Amino acid sequence: MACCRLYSKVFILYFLTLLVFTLPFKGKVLAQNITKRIWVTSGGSIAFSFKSLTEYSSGKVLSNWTRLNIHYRDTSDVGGDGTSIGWKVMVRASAATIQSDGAAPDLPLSSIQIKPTSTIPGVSITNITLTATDQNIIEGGDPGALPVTGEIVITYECGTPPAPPLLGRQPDYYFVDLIFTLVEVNP
Amino acid sequence: MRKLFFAAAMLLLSQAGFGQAVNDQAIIPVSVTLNSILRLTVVSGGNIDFVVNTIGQYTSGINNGGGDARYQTNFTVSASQDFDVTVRAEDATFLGQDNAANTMPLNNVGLDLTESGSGNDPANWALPAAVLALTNAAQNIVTGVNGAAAGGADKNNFTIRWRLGTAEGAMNASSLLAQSLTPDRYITNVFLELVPK
Repeated sequence: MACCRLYSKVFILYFLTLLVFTLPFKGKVLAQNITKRIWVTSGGSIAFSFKSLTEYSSGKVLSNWTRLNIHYRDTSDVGGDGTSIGWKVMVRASAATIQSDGAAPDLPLSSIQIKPTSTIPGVSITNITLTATDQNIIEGGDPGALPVTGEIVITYECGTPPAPPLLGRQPDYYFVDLIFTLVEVNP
Repeated sequence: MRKLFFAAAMLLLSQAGFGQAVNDQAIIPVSVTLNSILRLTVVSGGNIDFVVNTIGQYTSGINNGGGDARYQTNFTVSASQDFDVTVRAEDATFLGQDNAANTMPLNNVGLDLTESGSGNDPANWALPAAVLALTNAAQNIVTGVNGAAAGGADKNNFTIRWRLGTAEGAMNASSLLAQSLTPDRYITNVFLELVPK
Protein backbone atom coordinates (compact mmCIF):
# COMPACT_ATOMS: atom_id res chain seq x y z
CA MET A 1 0.00 0.00 0.00
CA ALA A 2 2.84 2.32 0.91
CA CYS A 3 4.50 1.34 -2.32
CA CYS A 4 1.39 2.35 -4.27
CA ARG A 5 1.34 5.74 -2.60
CA LEU A 6 4.98 6.25 -3.47
CA TYR A 7 4.27 5.41 -7.10
CA SER A 8 1.34 7.82 -7.12
CA LYS A 9 3.52 10.66 -5.84
CA VAL A 10 6.15 9.92 -8.42
CA PHE A 11 3.61 10.00 -11.18
CA ILE A 12 2.08 13.23 -9.93
CA LEU A 13 5.54 14.79 -9.93
CA TYR A 14 6.19 13.42 -13.43
CA PHE A 15 2.88 14.77 -14.65
CA LEU A 16 3.55 18.25 -13.26
CA THR A 17 7.00 18.29 -14.86
CA LEU A 18 5.53 17.37 -18.22
CA LEU A 19 2.89 20.04 -17.79
CA VAL A 20 5.49 22.76 -17.17
CA PHE A 21 7.56 21.83 -20.24
CA THR A 22 4.72 21.24 -22.67
CA LEU A 23 2.42 24.14 -21.79
CA PRO A 24 4.24 26.61 -24.02
CA PHE A 25 3.40 24.42 -27.03
CA LYS A 26 -0.15 23.77 -26.06
CA GLY A 27 -2.48 24.14 -29.02
CA LYS A 28 0.37 24.92 -31.48
CA VAL A 29 1.19 22.90 -34.58
CA LEU A 30 4.47 23.93 -36.14
CA ALA A 31 4.38 22.81 -39.77
CA GLN A 32 5.52 23.87 -43.20
CA ASN A 33 2.47 23.33 -45.35
CA ILE A 34 4.51 22.50 -48.42
CA THR A 35 3.77 19.53 -50.56
CA LYS A 36 6.57 18.61 -52.95
CA ARG A 37 6.79 15.59 -55.14
CA ILE A 38 8.95 14.89 -58.15
CA TRP A 39 8.87 11.57 -59.89
CA VAL A 40 10.08 9.94 -63.08
CA THR A 41 7.39 8.83 -65.48
CA SER A 42 9.74 7.59 -68.21
CA GLY A 43 13.42 7.61 -69.13
CA GLY A 44 14.57 6.61 -65.69
CA SER A 45 17.87 5.30 -66.96
CA ILE A 46 20.23 7.03 -69.37
CA ALA A 47 22.66 4.99 -71.44
CA PHE A 48 25.04 6.51 -73.97
CA SER A 49 26.79 3.92 -76.14
CA PHE A 50 29.52 5.12 -78.49
CA LYS A 51 30.22 2.70 -81.30
CA SER A 52 31.33 4.72 -84.32
CA LEU A 53 33.91 7.42 -84.94
CA THR A 54 31.13 9.78 -85.95
CA GLU A 55 29.56 9.37 -82.53
CA TYR A 56 32.94 9.83 -80.87
CA SER A 57 33.55 13.03 -82.85
CA SER A 58 30.08 14.57 -82.78
CA GLY A 59 28.67 13.21 -79.52
CA LYS A 60 25.30 11.63 -78.85
CA VAL A 61 21.91 13.15 -78.10
CA LEU A 62 19.03 11.49 -76.27
CA SER A 63 16.15 13.77 -77.19
CA ASN A 64 13.22 14.16 -74.81
CA TRP A 65 14.50 11.16 -72.90
CA THR A 66 13.38 11.68 -69.32
CA ARG A 67 9.91 12.79 -68.31
CA LEU A 68 9.64 14.13 -64.78
CA ASN A 69 6.38 15.11 -63.16
CA ILE A 70 6.18 17.54 -60.29
CA HIS A 71 3.56 18.55 -57.78
CA TYR A 72 4.15 21.59 -55.60
CA ARG A 73 1.89 23.49 -53.21
CA ASP A 74 2.56 25.88 -50.36
CA THR A 75 -0.26 27.07 -48.15
CA SER A 76 -0.59 28.77 -44.79
CA ASP A 77 -2.18 27.07 -41.79
CA VAL A 78 -5.55 28.45 -42.76
CA GLY A 79 -5.28 27.49 -46.41
CA GLY A 80 -4.01 30.79 -47.81
CA ASP A 81 -0.77 31.58 -49.64
CA GLY A 82 2.28 30.11 -47.98
CA THR A 83 5.49 31.93 -47.22
CA SER A 84 7.55 30.65 -50.15
CA ILE A 85 7.95 32.91 -53.18
CA GLY A 86 8.45 30.21 -55.75
CA TRP A 87 9.88 26.81 -56.47
CA LYS A 88 12.67 25.31 -58.53
CA VAL A 89 14.03 22.03 -59.82
CA MET A 90 17.76 21.51 -59.44
CA VAL A 91 20.08 18.81 -60.69
CA ARG A 92 23.53 17.63 -59.70
CA ALA A 93 25.77 14.63 -60.25
CA SER A 94 26.34 12.18 -57.43
CA ALA A 95 30.13 12.28 -57.93
CA ALA A 96 32.81 14.67 -59.12
CA THR A 97 33.41 12.68 -62.33
CA ILE A 98 31.73 10.10 -64.54
CA GLN A 99 33.40 7.13 -62.98
CA SER A 100 35.12 4.38 -64.87
CA ASP A 101 34.11 0.85 -63.97
CA GLY A 102 37.52 -0.37 -65.09
CA ALA A 103 40.95 1.14 -64.84
CA ALA A 104 40.40 3.92 -67.36
CA PRO A 105 40.64 7.56 -66.26
CA ASP A 106 37.24 9.01 -65.35
CA LEU A 107 35.32 11.22 -67.76
CA PRO A 108 34.64 14.84 -66.81
CA LEU A 109 31.09 15.74 -65.81
CA SER A 110 31.27 18.51 -68.39
CA SER A 111 30.84 15.81 -71.06
CA ILE A 112 27.10 15.81 -70.28
CA GLN A 113 24.69 18.64 -71.00
CA ILE A 114 21.11 18.78 -69.77
CA LYS A 115 18.47 20.64 -71.76
CA PRO A 116 14.99 20.72 -70.19
CA THR A 117 11.63 21.82 -71.52
CA SER A 118 8.37 22.06 -69.64
CA THR A 119 4.65 22.34 -70.16
CA ILE A 120 4.25 24.29 -66.93
CA PRO A 121 3.34 27.87 -67.82
CA GLY A 122 5.48 30.78 -66.72
CA VAL A 123 8.59 28.88 -65.76
CA SER A 124 12.17 29.89 -66.43
CA ILE A 125 14.26 27.19 -68.13
CA THR A 126 18.04 26.90 -68.11
CA ASN A 127 20.26 24.55 -70.09
CA ILE A 128 23.21 23.41 -68.05
CA THR A 129 26.48 21.51 -68.19
CA LEU A 130 26.53 18.87 -65.49
CA THR A 131 28.45 19.54 -62.28
CA ALA A 132 28.53 18.01 -58.82
CA THR A 133 26.75 21.01 -57.30
CA ASP A 134 23.06 21.78 -57.64
CA GLN A 135 22.13 23.92 -60.62
CA ASN A 136 18.67 25.29 -61.36
CA ILE A 137 17.08 23.96 -64.51
CA ILE A 138 13.46 25.04 -63.95
CA GLU A 139 12.27 27.94 -61.80
CA GLY A 140 8.67 28.87 -61.16
CA GLY A 141 7.12 31.88 -59.45
CA ASP A 142 4.81 31.96 -56.45
CA PRO A 143 1.59 30.14 -57.37
CA GLY A 144 -0.20 31.48 -54.29
CA ALA A 145 -2.21 28.81 -52.60
CA LEU A 146 -2.74 26.96 -55.85
CA PRO A 147 -0.90 23.75 -56.69
CA VAL A 148 1.66 23.51 -59.45
CA THR A 149 1.61 20.31 -61.45
CA GLY A 150 3.16 19.50 -64.76
CA GLU A 151 5.78 17.73 -66.75
CA ILE A 152 9.45 18.42 -67.36
CA VAL A 153 11.02 16.76 -70.39
CA ILE A 154 14.78 16.49 -70.50
CA THR A 155 17.16 16.07 -73.42
CA TYR A 156 20.66 14.79 -72.64
CA GLU A 157 23.77 15.32 -74.71
CA CYS A 158 27.11 13.62 -74.24
CA GLY A 159 30.31 14.68 -75.98
CA THR A 160 28.61 17.37 -78.08
CA PRO A 161 30.11 20.85 -78.48
CA PRO A 162 31.07 22.82 -76.47
CA ALA A 163 31.82 19.75 -74.35
CA PRO A 164 35.13 18.05 -75.14
CA PRO A 165 34.75 15.17 -77.64
CA LEU A 166 35.24 11.67 -76.31
CA LEU A 167 37.60 10.73 -79.13
CA GLY A 168 40.81 9.48 -77.59
CA ARG A 169 39.16 8.35 -74.34
CA GLN A 170 39.77 4.81 -73.26
CA PRO A 171 37.03 2.26 -73.99
CA ASP A 172 35.23 1.39 -70.76
CA TYR A 173 31.90 1.56 -68.94
CA TYR A 174 31.40 4.85 -67.10
CA PHE A 175 28.62 5.76 -64.71
CA VAL A 176 27.20 8.49 -62.48
CA ASP A 177 23.81 9.33 -60.96
CA LEU A 178 21.78 12.45 -61.65
CA ILE A 179 19.92 13.81 -58.63
CA PHE A 180 16.94 16.02 -59.38
CA THR A 181 15.57 17.98 -56.42
CA LEU A 182 12.37 20.01 -56.13
CA VAL A 183 12.64 22.77 -53.53
CA GLU A 184 10.75 25.87 -52.46
CA VAL A 185 12.24 29.33 -52.88
CA ASN A 186 12.04 31.23 -49.62
CA PRO A 187 12.09 35.01 -49.35
CA MET B 1 -5.15 6.66 -10.99
CA ARG B 2 -1.83 6.00 -12.67
CA LYS B 3 -3.53 5.30 -16.01
CA LEU B 4 -5.43 8.53 -15.64
CA PHE B 5 -2.20 10.49 -15.21
CA PHE B 6 -0.67 8.81 -18.26
CA ALA B 7 -3.74 9.56 -20.36
CA ALA B 8 -3.67 13.22 -19.30
CA ALA B 9 0.04 13.52 -20.07
CA MET B 10 -0.36 11.97 -23.52
CA LEU B 11 -3.26 14.27 -24.26
CA LEU B 12 -1.13 17.30 -23.49
CA LEU B 13 1.81 16.08 -25.52
CA SER B 14 -0.36 15.23 -28.48
CA GLN B 15 -1.14 18.90 -28.97
CA ALA B 16 2.45 19.82 -29.71
CA GLY B 17 3.36 18.70 -33.19
CA PHE B 18 6.36 19.39 -35.39
CA GLY B 19 6.32 19.03 -39.16
CA GLN B 20 9.29 19.14 -41.50
CA ALA B 21 9.07 19.68 -45.24
CA VAL B 22 10.80 17.05 -47.32
CA ASN B 23 12.97 17.99 -50.31
CA ASP B 24 11.68 15.55 -52.83
CA GLN B 25 14.25 14.01 -55.13
CA ALA B 26 14.41 11.82 -58.20
CA ILE B 27 17.57 9.91 -59.03
CA ILE B 28 18.45 8.80 -62.56
CA PRO B 29 21.49 6.65 -63.31
CA VAL B 30 23.63 7.63 -66.30
CA SER B 31 26.00 5.28 -68.08
CA VAL B 32 28.44 5.96 -70.87
CA THR B 33 29.83 3.00 -72.78
CA LEU B 34 32.82 3.68 -74.98
CA ASN B 35 33.28 0.83 -77.42
CA SER B 36 36.75 0.36 -78.85
CA ILE B 37 37.20 1.25 -82.50
CA LEU B 38 40.51 0.18 -84.08
CA ARG B 39 40.58 -0.25 -87.84
CA LEU B 40 43.60 -0.40 -90.13
CA THR B 41 42.74 -0.56 -93.81
CA VAL B 42 45.23 -1.19 -96.61
CA VAL B 43 43.82 0.93 -99.41
CA SER B 44 46.35 0.06 -102.11
CA GLY B 45 49.71 -1.61 -102.52
CA GLY B 46 48.82 -4.77 -100.70
CA ASN B 47 51.36 -6.73 -102.70
CA ILE B 48 54.78 -5.26 -103.44
CA ASP B 49 56.86 -7.00 -106.09
CA PHE B 50 60.43 -5.94 -106.88
CA VAL B 51 61.89 -7.47 -110.05
CA VAL B 52 65.65 -7.06 -110.38
CA ASN B 53 66.72 -7.62 -113.97
CA THR B 54 69.51 -5.15 -114.74
CA ILE B 55 73.01 -4.69 -113.38
CA GLY B 56 72.03 -1.13 -112.55
CA GLN B 57 69.24 -2.42 -110.32
CA TYR B 58 71.65 -4.92 -108.75
CA THR B 59 74.08 -2.13 -107.91
CA SER B 60 71.79 0.83 -107.12
CA GLY B 61 68.58 -0.89 -106.04
CA ILE B 62 65.00 -0.05 -106.91
CA ASN B 63 62.97 3.01 -105.90
CA ASN B 64 65.69 5.06 -104.27
CA GLY B 65 63.94 7.99 -102.60
CA GLY B 66 60.64 6.10 -102.52
CA GLY B 67 58.86 8.20 -105.15
CA ASP B 68 57.63 5.41 -107.44
CA ALA B 69 53.95 4.72 -106.71
CA ARG B 70 54.32 1.09 -107.83
CA TYR B 71 56.29 0.45 -104.65
CA GLN B 72 54.01 2.21 -102.20
CA THR B 73 51.41 0.93 -99.76
CA ASN B 74 48.65 3.28 -98.75
CA PHE B 75 46.81 2.54 -95.50
CA THR B 76 44.44 4.38 -93.19
CA VAL B 77 43.70 4.12 -89.49
CA SER B 78 40.37 4.76 -87.79
CA ALA B 79 40.76 4.65 -84.03
CA SER B 80 38.75 5.87 -81.08
CA GLN B 81 41.88 6.03 -78.97
CA ASP B 82 45.50 6.96 -79.47
CA PHE B 83 47.57 4.35 -81.27
CA ASP B 84 50.88 3.20 -82.71
CA VAL B 85 51.39 1.25 -85.92
CA THR B 86 54.14 -1.33 -86.09
CA VAL B 87 55.60 -3.26 -88.99
CA ARG B 88 57.38 -6.63 -88.97
CA ALA B 89 58.23 -9.43 -91.34
CA GLU B 90 56.80 -12.86 -90.77
CA ASP B 91 60.14 -14.60 -91.30
CA ALA B 92 63.71 -13.95 -90.22
CA THR B 93 64.79 -13.64 -93.87
CA PHE B 94 63.23 -13.62 -97.30
CA LEU B 95 62.75 -17.20 -98.41
CA GLY B 96 63.42 -18.47 -101.92
CA GLN B 97 60.43 -19.89 -103.74
CA ASP B 98 62.39 -22.02 -106.18
CA ASN B 99 64.69 -23.29 -103.46
CA ALA B 100 63.73 -22.83 -99.85
CA ALA B 101 67.38 -22.98 -98.88
CA ASN B 102 67.94 -19.67 -100.64
CA THR B 103 67.54 -16.69 -98.35
CA MET B 104 67.94 -12.95 -98.62
CA PRO B 105 68.47 -10.66 -95.61
CA LEU B 106 65.37 -8.65 -94.67
CA ASN B 107 67.37 -5.44 -94.43
CA ASN B 108 67.69 -5.29 -98.20
CA VAL B 109 64.19 -3.89 -98.09
CA GLY B 110 63.69 -0.47 -96.58
CA LEU B 111 60.72 1.79 -95.93
CA ASP B 112 59.76 5.24 -94.87
CA LEU B 113 56.37 6.93 -94.48
CA THR B 114 54.54 9.98 -95.68
CA GLU B 115 51.15 11.27 -94.54
CA SER B 116 48.36 12.60 -96.71
CA GLY B 117 45.50 13.07 -94.25
CA SER B 118 44.56 16.05 -92.12
CA GLY B 119 46.87 14.87 -89.33
CA ASN B 120 50.51 15.76 -89.32
CA ASP B 121 53.89 14.88 -87.91
CA PRO B 122 54.70 15.85 -85.16
CA ALA B 123 51.38 17.26 -83.88
CA ASN B 124 49.44 14.00 -84.11
CA TRP B 125 52.05 11.28 -84.50
CA ALA B 126 55.72 10.81 -85.24
CA LEU B 127 56.83 9.07 -88.44
CA PRO B 128 60.32 7.64 -88.99
CA ALA B 129 62.82 10.39 -89.66
CA ALA B 130 65.03 8.10 -91.76
CA VAL B 131 64.60 5.00 -93.88
CA LEU B 132 64.06 1.90 -91.74
CA ALA B 133 65.20 -1.57 -92.65
CA LEU B 134 62.60 -4.32 -92.59
CA THR B 135 63.10 -6.59 -89.56
CA ASN B 136 61.55 -9.67 -88.05
CA ALA B 137 60.93 -7.75 -84.84
CA ALA B 138 58.11 -5.22 -84.72
CA GLN B 139 59.17 -1.60 -84.99
CA ASN B 140 57.05 1.53 -84.81
CA ILE B 141 56.35 3.27 -88.05
CA VAL B 142 53.62 5.51 -86.58
CA THR B 143 54.03 6.65 -82.99
CA GLY B 144 50.87 8.38 -81.79
CA VAL B 145 51.00 11.54 -79.71
CA ASN B 146 48.95 11.12 -76.54
CA GLY B 147 45.67 12.97 -76.80
CA ALA B 148 46.11 13.78 -80.48
CA ALA B 149 46.34 10.59 -82.52
CA ALA B 150 42.81 9.21 -82.33
CA GLY B 151 40.65 9.94 -85.31
CA GLY B 152 39.32 8.73 -88.61
CA ALA B 153 40.76 7.75 -91.98
CA ASP B 154 40.57 11.33 -93.19
CA LYS B 155 43.09 12.25 -90.53
CA ASN B 156 45.25 9.13 -90.33
CA ASN B 157 46.23 8.42 -93.93
CA PHE B 158 49.74 7.02 -94.46
CA THR B 159 51.84 5.78 -97.33
CA ILE B 160 54.72 3.36 -96.92
CA ARG B 161 57.40 3.86 -99.54
CA TRP B 162 59.26 0.62 -100.08
CA ARG B 163 62.67 0.24 -101.67
CA LEU B 164 65.02 -2.63 -102.38
CA GLY B 165 68.81 -2.63 -102.29
CA THR B 166 69.24 1.15 -102.13
CA ALA B 167 71.33 1.15 -98.93
CA GLU B 168 69.42 4.12 -97.54
CA GLY B 169 69.20 4.80 -93.82
CA ALA B 170 69.32 1.60 -91.78
CA MET B 171 69.21 -0.67 -94.84
CA ASN B 172 71.91 -3.15 -95.78
CA ALA B 173 74.89 -1.07 -96.87
CA SER B 174 76.01 -3.68 -99.40
CA SER B 175 74.41 -3.70 -102.82
CA LEU B 176 72.50 -6.75 -104.03
CA LEU B 177 75.34 -7.32 -106.47
CA ALA B 178 77.96 -7.27 -103.71
CA GLN B 179 75.92 -9.81 -101.73
CA SER B 180 75.97 -12.15 -104.72
CA LEU B 181 72.50 -13.47 -103.94
CA THR B 182 71.33 -16.61 -105.72
CA PRO B 183 68.70 -15.73 -108.31
CA ASP B 184 65.28 -16.78 -107.02
CA ARG B 185 61.85 -15.37 -106.16
CA TYR B 186 62.15 -14.25 -102.54
CA ILE B 187 59.07 -13.63 -100.47
CA THR B 188 57.85 -12.93 -96.95
CA ASN B 189 54.69 -11.50 -95.45
CA VAL B 190 54.81 -8.11 -93.76
CA PHE B 191 52.42 -7.39 -90.91
CA LEU B 192 51.10 -3.94 -90.16
CA GLU B 193 49.70 -3.90 -86.64
CA LEU B 194 47.54 -1.24 -85.02
CA VAL B 195 48.35 -1.02 -81.33
CA PRO B 196 46.18 1.04 -78.94
CA LYS B 197 48.13 3.11 -76.48
